[in-house]
Amino acid sequence: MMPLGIALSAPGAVSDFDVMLAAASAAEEAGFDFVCLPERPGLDPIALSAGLSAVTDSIGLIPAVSAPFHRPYNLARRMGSIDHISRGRFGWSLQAIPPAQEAARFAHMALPATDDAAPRATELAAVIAGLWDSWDDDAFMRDKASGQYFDRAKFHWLNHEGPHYRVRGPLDTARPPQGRPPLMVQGGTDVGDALAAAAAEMLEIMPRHLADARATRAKIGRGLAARGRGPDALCVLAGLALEDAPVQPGPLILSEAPAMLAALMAEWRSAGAVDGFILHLPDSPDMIRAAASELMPALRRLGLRDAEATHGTLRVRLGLAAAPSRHAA
Amino acid sequence: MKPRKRMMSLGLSIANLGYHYAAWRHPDVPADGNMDFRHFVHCARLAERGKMDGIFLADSSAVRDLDRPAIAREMEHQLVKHEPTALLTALAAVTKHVGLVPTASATYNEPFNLVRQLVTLDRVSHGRAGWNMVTGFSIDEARNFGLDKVAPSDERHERAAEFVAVMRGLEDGPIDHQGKHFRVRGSLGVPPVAHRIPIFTAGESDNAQELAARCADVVYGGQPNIDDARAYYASVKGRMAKYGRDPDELKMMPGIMAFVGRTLQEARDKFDRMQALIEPRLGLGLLTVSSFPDYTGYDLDGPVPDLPMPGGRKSEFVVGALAKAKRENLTIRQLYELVSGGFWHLGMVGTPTMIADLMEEWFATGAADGFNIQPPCIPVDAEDFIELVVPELQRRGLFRTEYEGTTLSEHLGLRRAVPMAEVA
Repeated sequence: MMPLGIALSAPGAVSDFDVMLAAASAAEEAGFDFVCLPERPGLDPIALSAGLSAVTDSIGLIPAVSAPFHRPYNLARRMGSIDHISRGRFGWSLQAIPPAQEAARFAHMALPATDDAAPRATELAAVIAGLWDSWDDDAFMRDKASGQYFDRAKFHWLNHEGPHYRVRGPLDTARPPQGRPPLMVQGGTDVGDALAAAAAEMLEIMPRHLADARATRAKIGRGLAARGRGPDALCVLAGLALEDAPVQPGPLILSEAPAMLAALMAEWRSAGAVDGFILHLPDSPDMIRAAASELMPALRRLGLRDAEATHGTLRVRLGLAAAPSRHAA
Repeated sequence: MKPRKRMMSLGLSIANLGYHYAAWRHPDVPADGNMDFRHFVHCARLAERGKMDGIFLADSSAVRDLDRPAIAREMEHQLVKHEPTALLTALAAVTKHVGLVPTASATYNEPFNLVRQLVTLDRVSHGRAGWNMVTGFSIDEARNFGLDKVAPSDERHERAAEFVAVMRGLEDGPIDHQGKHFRVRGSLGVPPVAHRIPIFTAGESDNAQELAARCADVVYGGQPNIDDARAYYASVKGRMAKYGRDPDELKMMPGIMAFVGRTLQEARDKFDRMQALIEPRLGLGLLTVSSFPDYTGYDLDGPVPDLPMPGGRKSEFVVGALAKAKRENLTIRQLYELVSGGFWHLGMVGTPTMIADLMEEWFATGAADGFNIQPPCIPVDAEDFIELVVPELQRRGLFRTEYEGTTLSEHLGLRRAVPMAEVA
């Protein structure tokens, strides 16, 4: 199936949870695989995804995270918790270099130099993935009769000592249901592409046309190969916006009718340029429903979406392979 | 405005499946509950049924003492847990009334991030967020944040005070803060609201008491008896005047761990059943973790031997417990049962009347403004407390029968806080 998500991208600040809930619920009912919560002024994207995880059932939740301003241990446990609460629907979108306006909130902290940003964010992601593997999936026997809660052979110190982070571990949260909730990166910059090649499992690109997308895909493929990763390790998604649905600038704005949009998606996908798409939409349930009402049936007719409602973890919905623990036999 | 009758504040602590070390082995406690969201939904709704001011999650950012083989951590249930702000924000979306108080460290978080998370919790819950501010004393935490030792208390408390100044500023609007620890320019980008997020804290050190007197709305206490609790109450509140604060602006809420039974015998049976579930290896480890000497290898049913104190560290609790052991000829087993019963805080085995009497005495005589209820086993003992003790407190007019306000500030009966700028 073709992964299809939305990014809630209305210009302006996010100040009302109920608006976000209405939008995420509309996206879930319409059958989208995931909703991205980009960095915008106002409420915290990770905390919003925690709130949404309790009152949605099947849709993936992908908040934005700015790498330089978070400690890996805090992120690993916070995000691991949300993966547990949502039963495997969590993903995260990591930005290696945040904009200056955001950096001013953390002016006492050093920002990474441009050429160090991708290695530093890659190390952050590696520490977090390592912390998530602290406890084996079967570490906890919780045997009330004997009083044995866990097996000492089934936890792992991380003992990470890298150029940017030192973290001993283990994490104080059980392994997330997905093992490794998928990491998304925005492409289009050298830093983003380098981080994606090293650590991401989802990449959003913003092509202007099919040839652009194909070229980007080829470049990404070379980056993955240089890292010893296969082309299937990364789910490539093109960001698109729709005319008359105002969103923050970035994605290609299309004015096609839904049937034409579905055909375009099919063409790009069969050309191997992308695996799926992210529609950038305002935080409006009505606009989300309107965008989906004819598009989804058209995609089903083209065999790109299932007629049945999709279930399963975010990894499953993205077609990503299972992520066993690095310590698994 | 007619003066409101002074009422108790009650919080329900829902971390760790309960405060008894063998809680998870109780037949009606879900052993995997501390990673199970449904368990916490049940606890939160239970707290709302009991009209609790808030639910509270204790926390530290580490698995502690895994590298000390004398401590049988593999027999404990507190190793893996949810991150409190994430869990409580999820619970905010499925509850209506109860306050939500996560623990988070002022030492290991950045102010903008944490304040933004707390404000999000507050908006998701329509005004029910609190923050239990800790500064982190554990070496295991420090090692998860790139440090080889815990920062000195002075430094941690100085940072925490500045952290709170940034928080109170951001709650009001844009700031351009330049201090010793932080430089924060910008705003949260959400419209301000009429209430402040209540700050909870704890600690007996001078630094901790000064910080509490300066900026806390609620203080959790850990005093095991009324004399110590009165002294602590007077000590914290006595420090508030120099920060321009009235003693009523701060609620003292000691922890209470109660084994409740409809009859005294039922309560005692409950207690004995739990004590019998503490395996000797777990009990000996608990003594070690509480800074007692390591009695491994000695006869469990023999007298407590005189051994040197480890690391020269002497807490009043340890010295007191050892004196009691000597006085009452306790065995090693009896000593670890005493410690593992969780009675380092106020504890009681009794009927609803006995427990309400005790709480009323503390409340009426300058030892407490309310209590943080720390059930031995969760949810079972929380259910019993809410079904048996809360109605008794309500009959006595000491606790609300319905929620009157909507925010945690209103539940706690807090006065509008003085702006931080005026007390700094």
